Parts: sequence; C-alpha cells; structure tokens
Amino acid sequence: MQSVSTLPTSRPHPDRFLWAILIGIGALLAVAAVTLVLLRQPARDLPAGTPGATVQQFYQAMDARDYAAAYALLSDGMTDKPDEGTFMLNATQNNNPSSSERMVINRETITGDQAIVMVDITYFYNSGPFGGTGEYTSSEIFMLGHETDAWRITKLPYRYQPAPRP
Amino acid sequence: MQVARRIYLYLVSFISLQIVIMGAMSLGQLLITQGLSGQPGNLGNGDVLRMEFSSGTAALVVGTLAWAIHWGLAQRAVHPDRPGAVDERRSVLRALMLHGVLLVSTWNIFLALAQLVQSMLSALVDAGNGRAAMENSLRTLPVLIIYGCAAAYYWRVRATDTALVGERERVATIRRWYTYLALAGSLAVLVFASADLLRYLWDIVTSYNPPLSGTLISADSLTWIMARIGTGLAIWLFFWLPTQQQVAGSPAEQRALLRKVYGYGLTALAVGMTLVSLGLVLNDGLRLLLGSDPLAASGKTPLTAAGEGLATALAFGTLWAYQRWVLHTDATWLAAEPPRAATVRRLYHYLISAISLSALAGGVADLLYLLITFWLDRAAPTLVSLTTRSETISRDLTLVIVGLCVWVYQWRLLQRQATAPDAPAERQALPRRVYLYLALFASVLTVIGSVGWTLYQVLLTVGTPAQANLLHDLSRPLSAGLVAAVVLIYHLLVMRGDLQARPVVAVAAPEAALPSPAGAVPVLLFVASAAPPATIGALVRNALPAGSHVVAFPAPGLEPPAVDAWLRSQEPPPAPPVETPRGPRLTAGAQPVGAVS
Repeated sequence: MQSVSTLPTSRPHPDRFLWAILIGIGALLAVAAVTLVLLRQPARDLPAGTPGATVQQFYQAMDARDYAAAYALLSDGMTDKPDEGTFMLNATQNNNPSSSERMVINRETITGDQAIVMVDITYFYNSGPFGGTGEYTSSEIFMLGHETDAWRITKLPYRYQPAPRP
Repeated sequence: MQVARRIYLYLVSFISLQIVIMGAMSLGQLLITQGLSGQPGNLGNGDVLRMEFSSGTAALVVGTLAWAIHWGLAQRAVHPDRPGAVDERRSVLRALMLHGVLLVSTWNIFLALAQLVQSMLSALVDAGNGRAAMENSLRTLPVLIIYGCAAAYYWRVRATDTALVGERERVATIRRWYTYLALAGSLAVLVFASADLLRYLWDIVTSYNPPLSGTLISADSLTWIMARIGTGLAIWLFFWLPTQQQVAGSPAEQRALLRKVYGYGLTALAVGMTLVSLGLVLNDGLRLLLGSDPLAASGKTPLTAAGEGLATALAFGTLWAYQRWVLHTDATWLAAEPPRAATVRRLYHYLISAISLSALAGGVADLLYLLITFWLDRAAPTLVSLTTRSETISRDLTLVIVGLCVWVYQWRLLQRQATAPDAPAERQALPRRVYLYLALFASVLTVIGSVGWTLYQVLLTVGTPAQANLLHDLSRPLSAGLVAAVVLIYHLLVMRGDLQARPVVAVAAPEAALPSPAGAVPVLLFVASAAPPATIGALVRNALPAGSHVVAFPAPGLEPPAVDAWLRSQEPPPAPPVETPRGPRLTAGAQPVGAVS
C-alpha cells in the first residue's frame, strides 16, 4: 500500500543564524582569553603600615608556606598565643592554599590602636559540565593592635587557631 | 527465541565491553601515575598500587574474554553466509547495543576532552603550573584513547550494517535517539557554560575588588568555562551539521517525531531559563524600589546582580531564538504538518500556557490578599509597613507581570490557531482538552476549598460575639476563590465554544450496503490532510465518474501501516490443497465467496 508522500517545498536555507552565533561565541572566547592573560598578575601590595597590609602579608606567608614569617606577624600580647612549634604544626596540617580561593578585604575598622579587618574568602568550584562554576563566600575576622612600628595580629580567624591544650 | 538470544548476546557484549574499558583505563592511569612519579615498575610500593594493578588486570582479562566470545557470536550471526544475517543486521536490539556503546563513549570522550582542553589552557596561561597541567592532560589520554577506539569500531560496525541492509524505521529511530541525545547534551553544556562566562566577565567588569593574595582572577574557573564552551561547541557541531544536511534531503528525517521533541524540548528549556532569569532581575528591581535590599546577603551591587541575570537571559534567549528559527525552517519542508508533530507542538504551547497561567493566578490571588489585609490593617494601631512586605509584593508583582505577558502571548496564538476556519483539528486536539480540563480541575478544587473554608469560619462565629479577625482570616481563601472563579468561568466559556464548534461528520451506518453500479470495486483511499473529512469527500466525489459513491470517515491518529495490516488481516486464508475433484466444474458466472461487485 502506497502512503501519501510529501516533498520538500523549499531549498535549505543558509544557516546565517548559526554563523552569527558561532561568531558571537568566538568573540566571547576571545574576550575571555584576553581577560585571562591580562589579569593573571599577582595581587598588588597594600600600603605598608596599614592593618590590611599586615593581613595581606599573613596570607602571602601562609600561601608560600613560610610559617615562620606568618608567626612573626603575631603580636606578643596575643591572648593564648601558641608557641611557634604548635603554630607551624597546625599550619602544616590544616593549611591548604588553593588557586581557587580569592580573598578580599570587606571592611577595615581602626579605632585608636586597635583594628578589625574582615576578609571575604570566595571559594570557586567546578561542579561538572552542567553545574559549571560555582562559588560561595565566607568571612574571616582579624583583630590587630598597633605596636611600635607596625600592626600585629592579636586574634586570628578560627581556622588558624591551634586546638587548645587540654 | 531469536529475541531472547539477541537480548542475551548484546547485553552481555555491552556489559563486558564496559568492563574491558574500565580495566584498560585503570591500567592506563596506573602506568601514567607510575611514569609521572619517577618510579616506573615499582608495583610493590604499597598495597594500593598492588590492588589497582590486580583489579585492572582482572577486569581487562575477564572482560576481554567475555566480550570476545559474545561479540564474536553476534558478528558470526551477521556473516553473509549465515541464514538470517540480513534480519540480524536489521534487528532493533543490535542497533540498541551499537548506539548504547556510542552514547556512553561520546559522553566520556566529551568529559575527557573538556578536561584536556582545560589543562592545556592552564599550562598556556600559567607557566609555573605547567607540570600539574601536563599531568592532568596525560591522565585524560587513557579515556580518550580507549573510548575513542571503542567508538570508532562500533561506528564502523554501524556504518557497515547500514550500507549492507539499509535502515528500517525502528533502527532509524534508535539512531535519532543517539544523535539528538548527543545534540541536547552538548548544546546544554555549551549554553550553560556561555551563561557562566558572561556572568563571570560581567562580575570582573562591575564588581572587581583586588585580592589580598594570589592572582587577580581564578584561572581554574575561567579555563574550565572556556573548555566547556569549546568542547561543547565542537561536539554539537560534529552532530548538528551532518544532521541538518541529512534533514534537508530526507522526508523521513523531516517527519521524524524525535526531531520535534528535541526542538520543542530545548525551546522549553530556553524559555524557562530566560524567563526565570528576567523574572529574578525584575524581582530584585521591585524590591529595591519598595525599599528592601535583596542583595544584602550576597554583597553584590545592583548593577552586578542585574547584569548577571541579564547575562543568563542573553545566553538562553539566544538558544530560544535559534530553536524557533530551526522549528520555523523545519515547518517549511513539509506541505502538511504530520499529526504527531502537531501534537508535540501543541503540548509545548499548552504546557507553557498552563505554567504561566498558574504563575499569573497565584500572583494575582496573593496580591489581592495583600490588598485586603492592607485595607483591613489601615485602622489598626500598628501599621504594617510596605517595606516589611516588599519581598512578597515584589514576588507577586513579578509573577503577575511575567505570567501575564507569557500567558496572553501564548493563549492568543493558540486561540487564533484554534478558531481558524481551516484548522478544526486544533480546536479538538487532545493537548487543548487536557489543558482546559486541568484549568477547570484546579480552579474547581480551589473554589470548593475556599468556599468550604469560608463557610466553616462563618458558621463557627454564629451565636458568638463578632470576631474582629474574621475578615482577616477569610481574606486569603476569598482572594484565592475569586481568582479561581474567574479562571473557571473563562475556561468554561472556551470549552463551550470548542464543543459548539465540533464538526458533525456524516458517517455511514456500518451495516448499510453501499449502492454501487455494476462492476464497482471498493477502494480504500488514505488521505492525510488538514481539510475536514466532508471537504475531502466532496473533492474526491467530484473527481470520480458519475454514480460513484464516496464516504469519508475522520480517522485521527491512523497511519498507513495500520491500515495495511488491517487489510491483510481481512484477506481470506489461502485454501488448503485439495485433490482434483471428479465432480461437475463450476458453471460460468458463478463467483467465489468473498467477491464484491
């Protein structure tokens, strides 16, 4: 039994729409590549002698695993200041610097000789081909005191504090 | 028996092939890890290495044995010298196995390729990260090589089958499943990644805050997005361009139902994501106007947040526009839309209508409730400020605005199609009736619930002092009931119009004998047309000699193969062979049983 047949009524249209989309995607990738190249620069140092600069030096020392330099930024007047060995042991066990973290200063408050620096840490994660790139942000607080020639850390965020001894 | 044998052979072949692949990949990864660690051949370095080597080797050996035996048997069955080889090559189960392997391989190749591209981009951008990037690149090689070999081999097997025995419709359907699944997956990755990239770049431009340490941006994130875009685009084009060429030259591909499902499915995704993104931007804007800060928790500026939403809308809006263009182009191929393709189209439009109507009705009901409570609370000692309810108001306004725009647009289109004089099938279509009955069902239940609750609250107060909060308690059910009543009445009127417009088709009584001139032979003519049956009957009657009789039956959903099968079932069975009778022969003019004059 012969079924009703149909024939194409028009020739295939050139897919200009697709070409336009491909050009758009190409332009987007080009911008992304330029962004990647131009902004792959190390972070600028904050002005010396500010609480923010001290916090920045602390993070840079921890990133470089230079725990002695990080310890040197702690104030002697810090409550429950750990000894250097305990600090380095804790840092070795818990410090995992990652290129997928980004730390920016949210707020810096100076009151006389005391300062509070709140830092936002954004963690980027790649969650698969559909989930793409996600991020979440948490905050850390540093308390600092101004000593003879520089600001020193008087209270560390929780993750850098060694566990208290029993 | 054949079916059971094929299920067994092809299923075991598929499973054992996956075991072979897993074993080979495990050993490949182990070799690379050993090579990169600088301690090649040191398999005694820990229980973990020994375990990995043992499991990989066991899987490879056992899997290869099982696959070789079962696939060998399957291939032997299709050897040209074997009886039934043609049927074997044409079997649906064989096609299922081939395309199953191709689908799994395509997906894994895609993931590995994306990771490889990301690693290469990372190496290019960060010379200091070169070793890590090289290691990551090498780890993708076993996946690419092994799945690539499997895909290449089975692609060749499939091509050989098609070249030798052609492609039947059911096998073509399986091929289309594979193709359109690959297309949908790669396109979805491409669009999601493009939206990610637009948002990322917008964030850098509008809310950039120099970091304290590390580099100014995260290269991992950006390179992963770029890798997904590049790989998704490559895989999508790999399948899309040949598919479009095939469709241009093949009526069967043009009529394929799966192509419509793919097209409308992606369009629905694009529409949903675009409208949700725009709705969120609108919602944030309204909240800001009403005095609350929707961005306090995220810390983003309004410009950044709005741009992110618009960036997502741009990416998915582009997909929406392209899919609409493709569907429009597809419609120009055929003189008449196949019935099942029309059903898919209607399903899409009525689904969008139903969702937008729900949003609109919900938003209006809630706004009405808020207005009533505002009016009731205006004399209360403590006024409820606009700001404290701004989140609810802006949400409801967003639902109303977006829902109204979408529903009005869709419904006007559908009503125009349904009331067109040359398209009665639209008005009686199943998706339309389902939509109408769903609207009636939801609104009737809401009306019943609100009236019942209202009556209950009122009866509770009979004989008691007047309750100050009675109106307050009744405001929500009353507002919901009012909106539901409007929806109910409107859709009842629409349904009544559809019932009144139902065509009356004269159908001949099945037992009535057709008057026919001498020598007339019944002919069954199959016509697929949007014209009503009475019109078709009249046209055919006019084309026939005088005295011919034509009866036209509406036959929605009927296809030629079904008619053919029915006709064959009506044929009398062949007469059994009998000995030549010695009795009188048939006289002239006598007719065998079953002849029709």
